[in-house]
Amino acid sequence: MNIKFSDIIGLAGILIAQLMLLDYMTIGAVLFPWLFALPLASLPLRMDKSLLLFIAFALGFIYDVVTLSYGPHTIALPLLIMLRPAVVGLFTFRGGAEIERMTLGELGLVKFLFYLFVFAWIHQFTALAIDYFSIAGLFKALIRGFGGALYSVGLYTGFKLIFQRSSR
Amino acid sequence: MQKIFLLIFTYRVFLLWLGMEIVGFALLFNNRAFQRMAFVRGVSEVGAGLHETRNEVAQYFLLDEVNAVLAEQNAALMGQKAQWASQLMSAEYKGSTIWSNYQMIPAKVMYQTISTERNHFIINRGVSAGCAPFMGVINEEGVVGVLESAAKHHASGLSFLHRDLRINVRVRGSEAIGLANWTGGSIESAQLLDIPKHVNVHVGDTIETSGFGGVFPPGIHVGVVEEVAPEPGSKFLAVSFRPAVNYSGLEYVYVVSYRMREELDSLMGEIEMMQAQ
Repeated sequence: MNIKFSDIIGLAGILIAQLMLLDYMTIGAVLFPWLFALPLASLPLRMDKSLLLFIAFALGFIYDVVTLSYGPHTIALPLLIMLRPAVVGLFTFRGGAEIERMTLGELGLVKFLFYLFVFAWIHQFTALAIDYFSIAGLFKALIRGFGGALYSVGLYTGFKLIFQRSSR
Repeated sequence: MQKIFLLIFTYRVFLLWLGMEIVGFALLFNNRAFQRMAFVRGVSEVGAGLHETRNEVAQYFLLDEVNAVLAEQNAALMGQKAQWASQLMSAEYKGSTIWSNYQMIPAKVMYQTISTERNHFIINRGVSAGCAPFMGVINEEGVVGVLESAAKHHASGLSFLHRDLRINVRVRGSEAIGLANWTGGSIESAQLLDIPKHVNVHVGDTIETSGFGGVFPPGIHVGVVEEVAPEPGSKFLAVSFRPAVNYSGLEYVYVVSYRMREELDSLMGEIEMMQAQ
């Protein structure tokens, strides 16, 4: 199973949405709606990992360069891809051997939301920890990452439902 | 070469990820001053920590060398002490230079026994360092023994824990002189011989070398009196004392070389000849 053209379009679209709109929806400069990483969670489980790494790296790099954050997401997203099999393993039997993609339909709403949340939390925690870059900042990154992940998953699910309804 | 390529191919994903992380961190450190400074500070601290640990480990392995240097310094200090004592003594006994005639040779104990009735030790200094038979051996605690024979680089000696060894001693603060001798048994108890009954010796008195015979300088600690009792049917007291030196932990010692040894020996020889006549 390999990546579809629609996946690429989706990733590019959400990145543009992130830069144009979502970055302005930050709550109190504390909770960041970093949704652009979440589509990576639903890319095919058995796709070439090198390609997946390139996609994640490119997403992070473009976002970092455009927003002048220089680094946190370039580092966090490839790490997220390396950890993805472990996260998938938490929510599936035999590491998702029977599943092609981790989607709402495959996992069910609660499991899918939890899966997205863990995915988002790892991204948020890594990026924030790199941003704070101190031992004391780790706890802050953990807490804010938790809030940011909740916020991101909430928004992502909301947008997804809206788009699905409008497409029908 | 093929194996290297195979290895790279096997771990290509990991290596790719590693490369991406390096690019990410390079981007971070090149553009963000706070992270760069924190990284440099962290690396410096880790580097300093490693350097310190390495130094500590190296110093631990250099302890033997340091100990040897300290022993040399100690010997020099003991020599100085002897000279000052000589100056003090010369104020009391005009013209006496007995202390300044002793030289200390630092040595390390290579072998020793303490479990027999005739215990010996071997040190890592011999004739080449100035050691010779009948020289006294001391450490910072007191009398260790007397050299018995000397090879070029090593010498062996009778420990104070040798039942045939007798050392000329006196009781500090009194005029009592006698012989210290370990008669076997516990290493924490030895005998003070030839102390007449009329002499006042008390428990807690310090026994030190008298300096007779030139084997030890006067005033070297030998032990502390633990028990005093009149010896039945004898003119002498039975005095037992606790030796000053911990013989089970001997490491560094000093060989006492008396510069006037030949002169003293010839005079003592004359006395013996006269006594024999």
